[in-house]
Amino acid sequence: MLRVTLFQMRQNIGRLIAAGIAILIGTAFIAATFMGGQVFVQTSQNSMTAEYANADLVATGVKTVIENGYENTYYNGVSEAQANKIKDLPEVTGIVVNNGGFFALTTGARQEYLPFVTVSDQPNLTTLEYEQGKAPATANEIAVPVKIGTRFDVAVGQTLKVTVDDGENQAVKEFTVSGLTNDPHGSYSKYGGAALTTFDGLANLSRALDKTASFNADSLLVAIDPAIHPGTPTFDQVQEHISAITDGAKVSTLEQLTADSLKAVTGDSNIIMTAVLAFAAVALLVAALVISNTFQVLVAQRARTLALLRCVGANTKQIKRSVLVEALILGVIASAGGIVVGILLVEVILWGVGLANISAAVPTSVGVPLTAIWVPLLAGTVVTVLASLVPARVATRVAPLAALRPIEGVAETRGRAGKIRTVFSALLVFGGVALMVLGFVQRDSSITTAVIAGLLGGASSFVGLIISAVLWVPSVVAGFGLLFKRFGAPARLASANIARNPRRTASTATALFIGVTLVSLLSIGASTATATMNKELDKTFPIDLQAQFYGNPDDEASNQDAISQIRSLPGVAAVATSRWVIGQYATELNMTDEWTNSTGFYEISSDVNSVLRNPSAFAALAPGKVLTSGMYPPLKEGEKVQLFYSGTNEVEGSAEKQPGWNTRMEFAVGGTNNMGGFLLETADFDKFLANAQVDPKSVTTGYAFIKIADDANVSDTVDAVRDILSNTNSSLDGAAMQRQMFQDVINVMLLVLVGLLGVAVLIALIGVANTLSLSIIERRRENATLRAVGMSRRQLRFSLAYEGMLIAGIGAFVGVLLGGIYAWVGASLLLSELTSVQFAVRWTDIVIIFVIALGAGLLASVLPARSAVRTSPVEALAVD
Amino acid sequence: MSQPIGGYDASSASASIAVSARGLSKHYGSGASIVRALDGVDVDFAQGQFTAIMGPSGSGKSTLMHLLAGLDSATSGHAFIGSTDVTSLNDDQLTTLRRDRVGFVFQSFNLLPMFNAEQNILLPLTLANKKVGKEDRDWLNTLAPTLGLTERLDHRPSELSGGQQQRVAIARALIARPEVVFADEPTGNLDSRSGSEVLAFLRQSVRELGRTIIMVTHDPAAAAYADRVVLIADGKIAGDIKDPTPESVLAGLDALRNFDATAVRSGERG
Repeated sequence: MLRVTLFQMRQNIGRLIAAGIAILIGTAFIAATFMGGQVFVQTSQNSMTAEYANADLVATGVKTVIENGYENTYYNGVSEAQANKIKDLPEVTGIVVNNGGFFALTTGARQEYLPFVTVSDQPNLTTLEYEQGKAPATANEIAVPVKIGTRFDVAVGQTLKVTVDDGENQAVKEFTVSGLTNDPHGSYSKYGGAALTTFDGLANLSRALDKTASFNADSLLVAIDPAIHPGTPTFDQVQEHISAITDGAKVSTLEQLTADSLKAVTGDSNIIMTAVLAFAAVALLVAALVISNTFQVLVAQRARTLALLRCVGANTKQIKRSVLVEALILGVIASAGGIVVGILLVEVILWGVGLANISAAVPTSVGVPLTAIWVPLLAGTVVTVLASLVPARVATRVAPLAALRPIEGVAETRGRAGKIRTVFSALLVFGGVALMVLGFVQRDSSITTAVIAGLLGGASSFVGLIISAVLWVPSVVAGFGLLFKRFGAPARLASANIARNPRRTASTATALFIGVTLVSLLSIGASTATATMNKELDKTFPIDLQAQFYGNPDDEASNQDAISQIRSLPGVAAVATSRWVIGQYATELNMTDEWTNSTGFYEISSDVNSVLRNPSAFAALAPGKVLTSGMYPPLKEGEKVQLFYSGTNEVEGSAEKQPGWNTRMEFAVGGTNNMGGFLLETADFDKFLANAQVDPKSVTTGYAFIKIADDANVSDTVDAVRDILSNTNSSLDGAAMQRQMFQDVINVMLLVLVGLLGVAVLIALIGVANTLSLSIIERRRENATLRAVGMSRRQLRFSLAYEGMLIAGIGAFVGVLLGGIYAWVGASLLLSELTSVQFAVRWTDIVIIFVIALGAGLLASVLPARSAVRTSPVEALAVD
Repeated sequence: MSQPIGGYDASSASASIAVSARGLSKHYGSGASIVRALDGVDVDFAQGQFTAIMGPSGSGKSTLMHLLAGLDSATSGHAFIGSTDVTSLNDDQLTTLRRDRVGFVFQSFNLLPMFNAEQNILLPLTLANKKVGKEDRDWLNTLAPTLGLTERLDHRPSELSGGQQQRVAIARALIARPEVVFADEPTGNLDSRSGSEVLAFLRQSVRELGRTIIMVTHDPAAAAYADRVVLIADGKIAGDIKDPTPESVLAGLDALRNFDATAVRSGERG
């Protein structure tokens, strides 16, 4: 029987290869995931331990103690005093203070913070190499990375300023650049490089502001006398000694550190891998559908052979086993191929990354973990065999009698299994919908319950829809067929052909809509999240960018100049300005205080409305009313407040004693706003100025409100605005940056997820091509007849192209529809706590999904169509 | 496109000759192993006649039909439908020719299973992207009762008997009013009663509807329905029987077997 199986496999090798590719892609995905996990572990480990060079011992100052039954970890670092003690140990030949603090390198307006590391003459304590110059030898010398040298335009021998800043005071120390360094192992790439100086140089910097201060190192790299070998009692003694100096904190060898970091990163990589493997599972599920489809058709095609085998004495068990063995062989071979492809893919990418010199921490090759072999092998084989179970059962239904009469294939039966399918899938779908409804009901009382109910409901209804696809997809196909009838004979033929084998069409379309549903769910979910978040941002930050000007009246001319420059930027849609003046205020509560409060009074003109994202931002502003924020204690809505102008900042004593109190104006608090000070309408603002006889020179531009054009590149525009403002005394704030950041994060996540799901869609499209070519083989006689009665090659090609596009289009249509519904449910449940959900669809994504699906359907028809048009019309006359 | 060949002027003969062959040959292979399926055949088929092509297996009768209908390409020689030299046409021209000027009836019916009888009958018109006009409708209304299909037009092929399926196929062959209908063993898959029904319809469509039919068969009884039987053996025309009866056809075939028994066993394609 095995020989018969192998013979049959050889007969249908082309089709088996097509099905095998589906499994191959799925298993390659899994293998690559495990390889990627390995890369992640090695990369993180490299970057975690690279900065320790080849130190014999590393003191990290990390101490774990049990307190009151809880395990507490202290990250104390190593103090300067401790470092000195360690340095003086007789067995220690050298130390490096690894990151003794971040200090700012400064040149003009440019400032960059780098970690400071000390130099040592012990070669095993540093990984940095000198591109130019040499290591710092005196306390006034410094070595910086080559790219810092380029950016700061300093060469060896020139001076570089280092600023020490504790938030209140600043001190500047000048260093001479002794060398420019390279970081071949990427030890400090996570900090953007490190500055090297001597132990004294670092100590001096630490004392620049406070003579009694000292540095504290993240870690101390220690070199031990080479005569003392690791593992010897003397070495252990030194290790304990250093530990004692650092208050009993941990002192490790590199091996111990590597082991610790491995433990830390494997946990992270496991989480990431689990998520990625979920996508691999989707890809395999789709592959299973493709496999099952292929085997069903193989069985149908071999019906005559199977019947003959039954005639000559094969029993149903043998027939079934033959199909399963075939699946097993296919599964093992395809999975093995997938594993090789997956591993090679990762190694090639690593090799490419290595060539491109992107990051020194990424290994140029990784060992193949065992999981990258047995998991995909097992998963691929099991999935293939499982997928062939139904076709195997169908094969046993071929009656021996079938050998004696011409048959077109195995009849589709819808017996008990069909009923079970109907009931089971109905339970899943309706149960799932009920759960989602429950989610909506529960939304206000418990968001967790709601989300879990929604998630379970979504998953169960989706599984139900997949299982029952054969029941409902044919109606969708019929509906689309009606649409297609207008497009002439080839289209009519295509829609008729699709409708004649509903089960096969259903599973082909299902394979496709699984991927498309998830892709569109993500796309619509992401755009809904973005839109919802944007709405939220619009509420809190109604203005894209607001530049606030400080400074004195003398700066007004240059400020005005900057504003007109901003106005002419291409990415700026509108700019509105607001005048301000510093004045004094008092409420009933603080009338008796012995001081008077000063703050900014800002004009909100009607121009401002033109830059608002949320038109209701200043709606509470009205004649006689002010908006306020940042007051302590906070002012309540409706509270009365007295505004006046004393013309001086000497505001000791209570409000009534201040000059200008007599020309005060009373306002009611209309609401709050996050701009600080008081906001007044133009008319009120002008009335106040006139009343208090404020010197017009003291009234300057307080704010410029900037609206960014919708089609502009936000970060470019923000950079341009910031450049212009760098010459003024001002600050820039606003929602544009947050909005952009948020959008960037979502877009990157979306890209990754869609990429992962793209694999599933790719497999499904192989399924479409497979189905088409199978149909063409089955319809050889029909196509020849069509050619004989006058169908041109073009028409036949068109017809097959329509067929491919129709199946793919239906898959895409159903997928987008389902994805949209699930996205809406998901967003309504997940985001409802934040705000009201703004459902949004990125139509370009939807169009792209359809274009890809239809294009791929078209592409999938090209090869089958080529063999179909080659069929000579003479074959219509042949009798089999 | 129709050059006078071998003293035969196709354009002047087209009034009465529907289909003709001049020096038509089809060879397979080359050198010593060359197989001459058809070897320089000259034959004319008159318009409005029902002609049967007969011959033993491998005689070349099917090859002759394939070449005449433009389904296969000739090694040399010419085949004409009306005044059109079929052997000079490219694939698209042949397709149009088959669609508009030729009808086919196959041994195994070859109806499209997903279309009903009416849709199958109208297929050549659909493929031509023609609107089914009043004229076509009238023609269908003439064909359907003649072929006994009026009640069956909305049935799928799977719901029809073999004889009914073949009658649908005949209607499909006639719907575009072709100059000639080629029938390849039209009764091969039918029981004798349905077979004689189908043959009667073919003859009827020649007599009453003025069609031209060329039928390939190996059944002398079937051939006897025709107006004329062309006998073919060893790739050559071997006889011509006017107003055949089963007896005269059998006699003609017997004569053929004696005439060249070795050619029959040579395994040539038929």
